[in-house]
Amino acid sequence: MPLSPTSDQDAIRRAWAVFKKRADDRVVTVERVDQDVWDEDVTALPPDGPEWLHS
Amino acid sequence: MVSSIGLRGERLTVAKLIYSAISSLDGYVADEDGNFDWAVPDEEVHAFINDLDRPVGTYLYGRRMYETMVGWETDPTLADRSPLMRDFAQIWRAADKIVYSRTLERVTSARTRIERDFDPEAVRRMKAAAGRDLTVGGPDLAAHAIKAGLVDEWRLFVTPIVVGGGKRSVPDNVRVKLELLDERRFKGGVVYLHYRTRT
Repeated sequence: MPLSPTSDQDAIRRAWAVFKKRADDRVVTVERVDQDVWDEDVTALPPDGPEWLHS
Repeated sequence: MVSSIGLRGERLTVAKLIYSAISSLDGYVADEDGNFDWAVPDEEVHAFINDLDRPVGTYLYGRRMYETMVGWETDPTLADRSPLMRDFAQIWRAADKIVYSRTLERVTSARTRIERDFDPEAVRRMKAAAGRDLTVGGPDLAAHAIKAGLVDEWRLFVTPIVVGGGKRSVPDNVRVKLELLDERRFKGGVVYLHYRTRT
């Protein structure tokens, strides 16, 4: 079966573009979480000091 | 992993030839337009492939597969994109590559040579002499290896897509009995199937 509509080089470029975009998108997602969304929920944390010790 | 065989007190070490491919559910590695961007592995699959390929000593490629993969050595931006990509770039560069092509004039990666013909006997000798396993990539080259009875194991990643036609991952007119060694499902819907050729 002929594989004519897309040349080999175009198909390769296209696959690499998807691959690189995925890698770049992952970096953007991490940056957004780190800088904007991070809001520490102090009520979910264990208390400090001796209050944390079970009697 | 290279297998050791005891034979009348001798210890022979035989490297395996592994066919590795990422295909659609209907069994194509490229669609009718020649595209395979839908087969690009996600992060989880890529990490798994890195570990599978880490022990591989030699990649056998057809021309198109070589031209796809050589970016791991010629594109300087890849390794900086993620630790995963840097890891695979190092794995790929460390292995030997043989490209089977009658038209490719030169290679652009190190540890790479061109063979003009696929000689099954030469591959058998290579397996016998190799200290590490070999993989064959690219469906046309793999078809020669499969038909010559050279493929010992099959690693197929089935992508959750039906493309309706194109380049088949496994050639027509062959009959090979297989034993399932391992399987795994990934969050993105890809399924990994690992088979051994029954002798």
